[in-house]
Amino acid sequence: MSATAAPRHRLFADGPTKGIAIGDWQIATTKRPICNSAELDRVAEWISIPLPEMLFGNNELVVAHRSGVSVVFNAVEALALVDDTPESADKTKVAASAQWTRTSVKTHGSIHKVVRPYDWTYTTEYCGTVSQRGGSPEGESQDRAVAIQMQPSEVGINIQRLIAPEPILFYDELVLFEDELADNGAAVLSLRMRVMPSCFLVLQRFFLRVDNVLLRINDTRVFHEFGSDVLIREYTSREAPYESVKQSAAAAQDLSAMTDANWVSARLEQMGPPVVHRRESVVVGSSKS
Amino acid sequence: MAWDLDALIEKAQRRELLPENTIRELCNKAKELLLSEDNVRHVQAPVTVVGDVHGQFYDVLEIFRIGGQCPDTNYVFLGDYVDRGYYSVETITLLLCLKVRYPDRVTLVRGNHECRAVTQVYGFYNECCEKYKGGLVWSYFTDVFDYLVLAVVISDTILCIHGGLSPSLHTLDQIRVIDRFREIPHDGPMADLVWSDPQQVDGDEISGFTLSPRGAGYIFGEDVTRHFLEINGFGHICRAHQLCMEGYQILFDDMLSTVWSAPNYCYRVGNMASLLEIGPGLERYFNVFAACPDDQRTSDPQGGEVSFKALVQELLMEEDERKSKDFQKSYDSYSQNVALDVQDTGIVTNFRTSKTLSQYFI
Repeated sequence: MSATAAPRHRLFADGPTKGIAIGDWQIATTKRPICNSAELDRVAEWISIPLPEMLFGNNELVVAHRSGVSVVFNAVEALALVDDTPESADKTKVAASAQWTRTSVKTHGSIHKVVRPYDWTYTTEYCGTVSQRGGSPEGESQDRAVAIQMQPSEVGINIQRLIAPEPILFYDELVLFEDELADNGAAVLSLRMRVMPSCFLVLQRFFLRVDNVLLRINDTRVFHEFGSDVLIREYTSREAPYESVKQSAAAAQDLSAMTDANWVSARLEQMGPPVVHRRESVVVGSSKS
Repeated sequence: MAWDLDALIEKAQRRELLPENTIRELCNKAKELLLSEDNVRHVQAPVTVVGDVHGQFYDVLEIFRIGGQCPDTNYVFLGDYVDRGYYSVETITLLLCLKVRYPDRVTLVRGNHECRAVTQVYGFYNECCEKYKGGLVWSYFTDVFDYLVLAVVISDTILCIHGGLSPSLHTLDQIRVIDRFREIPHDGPMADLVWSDPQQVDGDEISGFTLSPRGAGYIFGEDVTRHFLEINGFGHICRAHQLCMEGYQILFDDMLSTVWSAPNYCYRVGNMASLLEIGPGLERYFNVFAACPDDQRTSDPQGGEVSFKALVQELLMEEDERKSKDFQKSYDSYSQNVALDVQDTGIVTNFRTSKTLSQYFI
């Protein structure tokens, strides 16, 4: 497909929200500080697990098409998918756990209870909330958004399109939540997006580092080429033991590369196929210039 | 070189790096001083308690502007001076200078980041190597960390610690007898003091000490807090260690409070910070403040830092036609030297994973 002129576009900004209207699409990010205690109390009514220490509950990324299809990314929906079954806390333990537990059992055997077990790594398979506003564009019930499912797709993201040098019309990034796992690593759910004349890409990344234990990256990419009639979503989940990734870190004493999600992502990709790889799409109708 | 501490303090306040030899000497003097301090240090109100600052140097200067300069105000710092912020070296340099100059007006408690293992992961080690070419300065500083005190008691009434209580520690005397001159161990009472967290549990859920779901560390509840206060005749526990949007948090029916002193943590969280000002009659006042304004942050003398926002605005969102044609070229040349904000810190720095934007994320 040859490069065509960019659809008409306009950048906009309104307080914490900024974005771009391009062709039939409107893409916007909202960035605010972390939730205050009153907001945390409200979120806690929905989410039963202890909340991450940096919860950007008012942050949001919205990709909306004129036909009514939209993909929204927000922290609360992502946290709703974190495992909170009684076994969930046992899936991963911090590096010091074995020794620590031995000592604790010996000296304080009566303390053996975890009050609210949950997957404290905040691992989530969230890949955005997809919905369709009801009725035709002219209909009255436009405001009612209904959750829809994307369909499995043969076609993936056009990587060549993304590699081709193109001006960036709009770029933004934001964090949905972050937790330092009590200084045992990090769990970060963040978003980046870029809009070019020929296409746009959203990358939501869940990055988990449990020091000396595990690295995990769950990536969700949402991609559209202007002129096509589908919105594509690809989800990959990769993970590897900390030690095997660390071997390729430059200097043994400098472990800061391990905190760099981009660097870790490149290493994980080299280390083998993803644990999960899913391609999906939804028809949005052909976008016009 | 003559040892002029006031001149060093002035330099440190200007965020100038002190020579490596001076750092070594400063650390030796600090160790000598700290060696004579008890694990538990007693201070009298009025006093101002500062929580985590994490290398946010300009916010530390703001703390002194708000809370009063040394030695006019008596300060207790609750640890976590380094890691995460850009200026851990400058922050700990300034605090150690002040400690050595005014030993009776500055108290430095050890936090869980004042530790070799933790600083190797969270930035301080790396920063020392970058600013001083080699790891020696890091070893001088981390040697001092082994000497920092574990707790402070204000006017026999308020206990100050970095993290929280330990099931191994029922009395103050048990804190006094810990052998603290060492790296923070993985477990035991010394680890608990700098790592543990309080948790408010509702209804019938059990209280007391419970296990962290992470598999290491204790969580303590309201009843053990009350018990500890009663046994030791204290009225309140003040601790740091946990971020809160409002800059402070009061728990357990006002028996315990968290003070957090790093505003806009990591330069992007948007939270408030506070100082806990304890008056002569032990009244507690949280003096809440926001991040120091940008115009009071001078640019990095070493260069190489550009606000990512400014870069984006300049290069990516340029609507001027001529400039947008030049975009890719200017971007590519720029990216030879600096990388994008791959760590999401808001600042573009020289970073090993330099990439052009088209490769930036796919």
